[in-house]
Amino acid sequence: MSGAGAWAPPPLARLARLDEQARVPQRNGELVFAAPWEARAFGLVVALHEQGCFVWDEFKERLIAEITRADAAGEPSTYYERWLAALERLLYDKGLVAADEVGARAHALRAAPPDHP
Amino acid sequence: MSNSHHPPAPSEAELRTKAIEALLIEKGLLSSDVIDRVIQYYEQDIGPLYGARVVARAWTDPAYKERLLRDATAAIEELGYVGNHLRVVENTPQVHNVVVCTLCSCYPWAVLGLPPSWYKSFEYRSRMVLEPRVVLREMGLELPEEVEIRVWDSSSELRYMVLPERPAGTEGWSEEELARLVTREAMIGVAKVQVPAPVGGAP
Repeated sequence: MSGAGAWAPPPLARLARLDEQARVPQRNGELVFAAPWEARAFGLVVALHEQGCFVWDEFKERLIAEITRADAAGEPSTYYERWLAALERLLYDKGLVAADEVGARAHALRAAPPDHP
Repeated sequence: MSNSHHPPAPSEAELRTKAIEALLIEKGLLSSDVIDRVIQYYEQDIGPLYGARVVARAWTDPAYKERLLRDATAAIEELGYVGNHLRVVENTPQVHNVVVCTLCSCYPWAVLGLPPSWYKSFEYRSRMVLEPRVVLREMGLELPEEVEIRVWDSSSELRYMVLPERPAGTEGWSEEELARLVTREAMIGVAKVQVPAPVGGAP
């Protein structure tokens, strides 16, 4: 595992960034993420995968299971809440992080948000 | 109860996401810089640009189109992009293709960027297979009754991208000009590619 190594987009992505004129119309201007944490949750999964922490299907299976379960239960949870649940499942199954660690840290963050204005 | 003068308390999901990120960084598994770059790459850099260029090439080069429909992964690699587990399906005046993922949200990120939020909605996933003509009409695409609609259900083994019809009136356009017309919606199959009405002369 390369740890916190440098993840660089493929060279063509940089090329595309320069090529402003060729930006495809984003006509509806829809935001991909409804809240910043959703982007973080998305980025966590992709970054862990890029660094070889798991193969993609290991995440995909858990995401499908979570969506199927939540749909069947009629839960009003959002897509990225389910995505996060699948990420947690994967981290616990892989032993990368423990559930009680996450619970304790989340509790601590609620008590004393580090970026509270 | 809630006080509109203060920002809402962070949700449980937000706190857990922050907790996970902090723990992974402390364990040396990730850096926040890597996460930032991943998000920027998928959110802003790719968009549907690569897919649009693939479509424009197929419109202007019949041999390329044939290769794309036969082996999308190889044809997309020719342009320097990645299209693993991808199949491209062609719209014609007789057949309209539309893509869905009924199980979750399988989607060819590498060529189309991130999926729009409606693509992941329960309504779209459940209804597109059952009544595609109705759902397409609700999304603003009215298809004549004689047009056959084919719905492709993506999975992690195989994802689909629609090759839309080239709009009339674009004869002689360059590949780059054509690519700018191609929207994400058209490559999912919920819209057609339109030529914008000229406003005070062509650009």
